[in-house]
Amino acid sequence: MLPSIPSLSAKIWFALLTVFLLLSLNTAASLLGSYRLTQLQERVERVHTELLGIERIHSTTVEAETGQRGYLLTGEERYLEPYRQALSRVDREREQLQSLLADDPVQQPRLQQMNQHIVGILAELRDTIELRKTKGFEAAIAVVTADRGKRLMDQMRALLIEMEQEEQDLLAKMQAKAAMHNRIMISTFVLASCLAGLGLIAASYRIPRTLRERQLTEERFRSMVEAAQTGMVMVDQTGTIVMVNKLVEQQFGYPREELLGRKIEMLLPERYRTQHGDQRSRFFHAPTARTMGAGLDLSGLRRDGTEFPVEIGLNPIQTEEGVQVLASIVDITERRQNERAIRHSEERYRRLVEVSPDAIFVSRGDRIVFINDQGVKLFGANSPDDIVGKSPLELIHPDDHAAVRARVRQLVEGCETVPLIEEKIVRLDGRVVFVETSAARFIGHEGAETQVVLRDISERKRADQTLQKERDFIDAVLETAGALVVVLDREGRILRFNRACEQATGYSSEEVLGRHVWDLFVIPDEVDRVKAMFERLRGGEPRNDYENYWKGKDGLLRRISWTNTVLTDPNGKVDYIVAAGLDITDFKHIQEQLRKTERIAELGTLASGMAHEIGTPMNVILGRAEYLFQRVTDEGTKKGLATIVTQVERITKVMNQLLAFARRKTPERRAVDLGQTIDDSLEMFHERMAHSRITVEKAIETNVPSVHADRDQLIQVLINLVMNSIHAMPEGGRLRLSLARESSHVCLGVSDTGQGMPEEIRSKVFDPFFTTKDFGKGTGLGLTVVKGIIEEHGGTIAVESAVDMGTTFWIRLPLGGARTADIS
Amino acid sequence: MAQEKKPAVVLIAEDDQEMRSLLCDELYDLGVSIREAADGDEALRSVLDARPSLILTDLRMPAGGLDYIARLRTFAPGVPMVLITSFGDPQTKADALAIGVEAYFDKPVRLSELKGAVRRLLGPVVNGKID
Repeated sequence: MLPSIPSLSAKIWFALLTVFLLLSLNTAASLLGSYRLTQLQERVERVHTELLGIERIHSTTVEAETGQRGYLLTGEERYLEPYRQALSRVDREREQLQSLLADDPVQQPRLQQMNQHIVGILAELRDTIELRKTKGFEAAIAVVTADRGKRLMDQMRALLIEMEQEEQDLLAKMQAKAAMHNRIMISTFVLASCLAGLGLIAASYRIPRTLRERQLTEERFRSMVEAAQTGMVMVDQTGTIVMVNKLVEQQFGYPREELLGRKIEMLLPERYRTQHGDQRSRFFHAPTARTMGAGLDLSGLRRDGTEFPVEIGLNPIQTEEGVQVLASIVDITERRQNERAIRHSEERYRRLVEVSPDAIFVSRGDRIVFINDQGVKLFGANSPDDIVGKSPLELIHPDDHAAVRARVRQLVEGCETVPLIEEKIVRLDGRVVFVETSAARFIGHEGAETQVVLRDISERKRADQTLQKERDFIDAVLETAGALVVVLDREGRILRFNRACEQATGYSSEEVLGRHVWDLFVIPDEVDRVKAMFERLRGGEPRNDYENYWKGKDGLLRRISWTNTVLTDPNGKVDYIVAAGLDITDFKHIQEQLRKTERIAELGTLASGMAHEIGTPMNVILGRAEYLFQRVTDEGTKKGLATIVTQVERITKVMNQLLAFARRKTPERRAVDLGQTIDDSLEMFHERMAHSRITVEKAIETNVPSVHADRDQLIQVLINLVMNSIHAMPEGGRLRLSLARESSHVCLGVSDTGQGMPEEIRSKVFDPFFTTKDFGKGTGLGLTVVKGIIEEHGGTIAVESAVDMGTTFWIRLPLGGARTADIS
Repeated sequence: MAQEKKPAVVLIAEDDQEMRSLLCDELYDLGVSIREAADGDEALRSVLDARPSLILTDLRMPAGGLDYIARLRTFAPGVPMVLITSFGDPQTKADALAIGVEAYFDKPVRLSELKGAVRRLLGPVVNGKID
């Protein structure tokens, strides 16, 4: 916010420094360059010297030769002068050259060679001179023309030329080098100068601008401070307020005139003032930007004497007047309140968590970071430390891991809360506990956290199980009960339909649920009655009983005896109607049969009684008719009397049959061979059948086992059936008797080819007193008795017949121990 | 050898008057002397008074029954007894025969049959018409 002066200078300084460096570089480069040049020059000098040396030797040698030549030619001693001078010089020159080229490895061998040459040349010269001296011109010239000396001279010259060349090359190189250095130096110089120049130009632009900027910045600074959202107070080293902004005026309630020039302590409550003075000086000792009194509760003092909590930030500012402090003052009343509210809320939360009867833990990432006391107990730990740090999955039963992971995913994907799920947790001691958990995710200040509440539902599970067991028990009872149980709702719709009902009606439970009984099972005639019963129950009658018919899916009617009760809710309103019914269809049948039997028994008794009464009067009629018959002669009268006799006899027969039926003695059952019995019965009719042109067919299976039966009764049966057959075939025909074994039964058939019966007669043929025979024949009791006997043996009798197609009676008797029909 | 013309005495024990009348009329043809009893006690008294040649008795009547028959038997040993009873059952028949009746008939019985049996039993004694 505040552009600090040092930084501005720094830029300038930097620029200037760069310029300085560049110039230094220049200087350095120049110095270096000249040093190099100097060196180079020295070297060049040396080369020159060397060249000179080489030349000198050459000229010395040539001089020597010249001297020699002169002497050789003239023989005069004075021509030897150059030779002698040369000789005296040559060694010295050789040495000089030697020392000059001492460090030049290339020249050294040449030098050596040259030395040799010189030695050779000088030797030759000497020799020739000597020869001239001694032997004369010819001898000397001979040596000379031998060219040895010349050769050496030439060689030496070549060598010297080489060496010169070498030196010249060196020279050239050095010169080139020097030129290069020059160039570098110049370019560097130029470049650096240019840059320096530019830098200076730039700096010269910046500086005034910076100064301007600084001014602007200061202005801006002032306006920013003024407009700041926090109170700003600038204080100098003495603690005097040098600047305040508008907010400070508002915060403390002072107009700025009353603040400027005053000590900062006036804005602090009394109790802080002395302390603050010390703090202030300490601060100025080592001014750094920091928050004042970190951790302390600071307060500001308003003009009206009230205090308010503040947060103060201190910024040391370097100004022209020295270091000053810019304090930012934030009224944190609201923040404090919020903090308090948050603390309260946290406190409340913490309390809630602590006293919660449910276990609560919080996990962050994959670790539990907090667990309440209940949680510690639930997991069987001794302290939260046993749990904190673990992954929640460690404590959840593996069976439920998938569900838990799915839930976590849901939470992460954005659901705030997820529904309750039941899980199994694993305590630290390994025991498994059923819990119901809910989870929520929230972003804490340390990241996303998941909060999980667990409720131990072991009790509930046990209760559920117990309940379930009870339900299962009730269901089992309902289902296996022999009684029909139907539960209806308030509207009469079926809620439960037990197995007995299903079996009785052929409807399955699913088919009938929700429907009304009177729509499904009740026959039309009884619908109103049933509905009325229902209404009575609904209206408050706690219980009633009645009977009705139920029609099954197969259309069959079953008689049900109902006991209906009502279940009410705690308010007394009808909740359910429970109807328990007993299927008394069979019972009724049996009752019917019993009644019939009783009636028949009654009839029997009646008959017996009657018989006694009418026997005598009948005899009187009979006797008198007989008597008269014997004493009259008139045919007509006789006929009439004969009729009376026969009729009385007919009546007698009926009475006998009736009495026979009524007097049935307890059958004596033995093993009876039916085949033999059939033969015996037929024996009685032998004559009769011969007379009436009836053929008898027998289809008796061999080895048919005996039945346990009363022989007399069976004979009675056979006689009856055979008689009927005979009567049915007045023109003759065929009588067929068959006997066959059928697994557990014996099947006896009596079949004729007589006139047969239409269906409406056939179906009634076993009814008591039902007869088709003309008046005077047949009594109508025969087949009833026959049926009775067969059924008492535990067997069945059936008849097949069609008009003009004959009639067949089928009798089936059980093998072995026949059981009497159970009428009880 | 000429036999004493003493008519056979037949005791008819029957509580039904018409029946009794009928029996009397029928047996009259046999030329026997008829004594009537209307109940069991009368019959016994009659037997004790004068031994009949034959007893024709009903079973079920006042002071009747099988006991009465048995007593008759002891009071009149050697006297043929014909028992007639209304729609008797085989058991009764067996019992009666066990006591020692010579003939047993179920009412209604054809009088010709009855007469025949009586005649047969009286056989040697009858002095009257023999049919």
